[in-house]
Amino acid sequence: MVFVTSRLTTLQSITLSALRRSESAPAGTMLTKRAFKTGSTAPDPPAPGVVRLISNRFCPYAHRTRLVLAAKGIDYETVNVCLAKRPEWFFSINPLAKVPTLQHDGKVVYESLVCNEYVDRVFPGRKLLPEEPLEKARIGMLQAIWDAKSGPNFMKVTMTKGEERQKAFEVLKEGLSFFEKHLGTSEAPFFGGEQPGFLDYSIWPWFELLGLFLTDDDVKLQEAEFPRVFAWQAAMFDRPEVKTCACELSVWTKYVASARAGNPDSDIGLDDSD
Amino acid sequence: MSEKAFKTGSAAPDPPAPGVLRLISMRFCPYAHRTILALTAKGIEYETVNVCTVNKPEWFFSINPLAKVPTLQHDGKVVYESLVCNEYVDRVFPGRKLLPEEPLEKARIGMLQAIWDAKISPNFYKIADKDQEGREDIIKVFKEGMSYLEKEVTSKTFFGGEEPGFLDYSLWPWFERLPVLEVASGFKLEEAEFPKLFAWQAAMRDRPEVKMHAKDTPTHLQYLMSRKQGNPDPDAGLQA
Repeated sequence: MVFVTSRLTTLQSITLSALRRSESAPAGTMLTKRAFKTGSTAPDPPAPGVVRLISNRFCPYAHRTRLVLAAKGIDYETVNVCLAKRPEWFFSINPLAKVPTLQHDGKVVYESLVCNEYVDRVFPGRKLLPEEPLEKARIGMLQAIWDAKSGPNFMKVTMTKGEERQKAFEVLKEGLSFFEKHLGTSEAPFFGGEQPGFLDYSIWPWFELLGLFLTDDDVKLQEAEFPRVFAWQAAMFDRPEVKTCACELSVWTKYVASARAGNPDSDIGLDDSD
Repeated sequence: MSEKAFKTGSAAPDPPAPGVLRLISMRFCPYAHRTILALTAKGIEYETVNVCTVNKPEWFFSINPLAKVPTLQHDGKVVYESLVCNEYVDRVFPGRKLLPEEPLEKARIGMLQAIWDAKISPNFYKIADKDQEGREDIIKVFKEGMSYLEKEVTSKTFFGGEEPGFLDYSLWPWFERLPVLEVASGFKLEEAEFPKLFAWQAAMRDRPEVKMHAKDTPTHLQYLMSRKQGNPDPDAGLQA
């Protein structure tokens, strides 16, 4: 099987097989971006050779895998699913029915970091994981610090008040201090070195939303306290794969509002042609 | 080196000598147990410093900011998180390879681990509590998780093939503790329902690396009870 890394647009699905299937169809033949919900009919399985990502436009874990696929120039098609009202057919593909889930020639891979390691090893393109075992272990350790201290507190800070909120913010910053220190051990702008690597894409989805989470004065990150992290964030915003995968903050804000109202709508921001 | 656990207020031990691999551990922690199994399976020599994981020694935080076991120290290098430690030692030290080379095989380990983390490990000790709310449903989810493992052990003896591998050692610590659930609450898995898992357990119990570190059910129970009573005793079962 051949993967065209010279870009037919990496994201949201123009695939060679789709083109071959329907010469007469418009070049933009693609699956709908609208999320499949409970009660929906399962889409046909992906054609031979086609990488399919089962995803959700607002899931940060799926975002990790979209970034890696984009960074490596891998063509794929996307099937979005609703996470509040999961389609039953999803459970027979992935018993945990979580995104991201990859399907490829009968193979199924799920768990964002498992997907990311898998595609990094199996597909050509820039290597995102380091070869050296201690370097790789460092990624796992920083990830654990993130998972313990920072990741969960981004939401917690926005959803709490007073002392609980301040405590969550302090712990979030404590976690970030390890990332600041790690960046300080080198001149390179990214955790992956001169270009972003595995860890950069693993934590980016939360940083892209800083303008959503940490806006109030009492929970604002200060550049003076995290100069390297701020520089890293600017460098990441400038990356083409980040821009390709980004969702505008204004759309995110509407999504969060729909979730707070008890009815998360992951089709927010789509128009009729999607 | 004493097996007794360092607690809050203790003086830090000297760092390990050059070339020496040190494992910071706790005798009853299933996560540390994973790494003990991997080290033993690969025939790697190491020394152990035990810590109390409830009343943690302050010096531990400067080695591992999360102050969790297992933590490995080796010539100035520090590695923590059980599965990170296990992958690291598998790659860096000689001995039987525990991780598969093939990417999809490796991914399968990660996926089964995720099923375990979602359905089995958070429910493990809840089942021991007979008064646990929603216990019936918890047991259902627990057995659902086990059924995925049952399906996975097909023609091979172990998840790793003819010998145990990464996943075998990642899961085993909880299977050693399964009899605790039976003593505490009468819960047990039925062999008729999970024949392959039962065969796997018997094969694992027979492994030298498992036997070397196995603790019996009363000793596991002694630790768990001490913890439940608010006075965790990581030295339970040690001769004075």
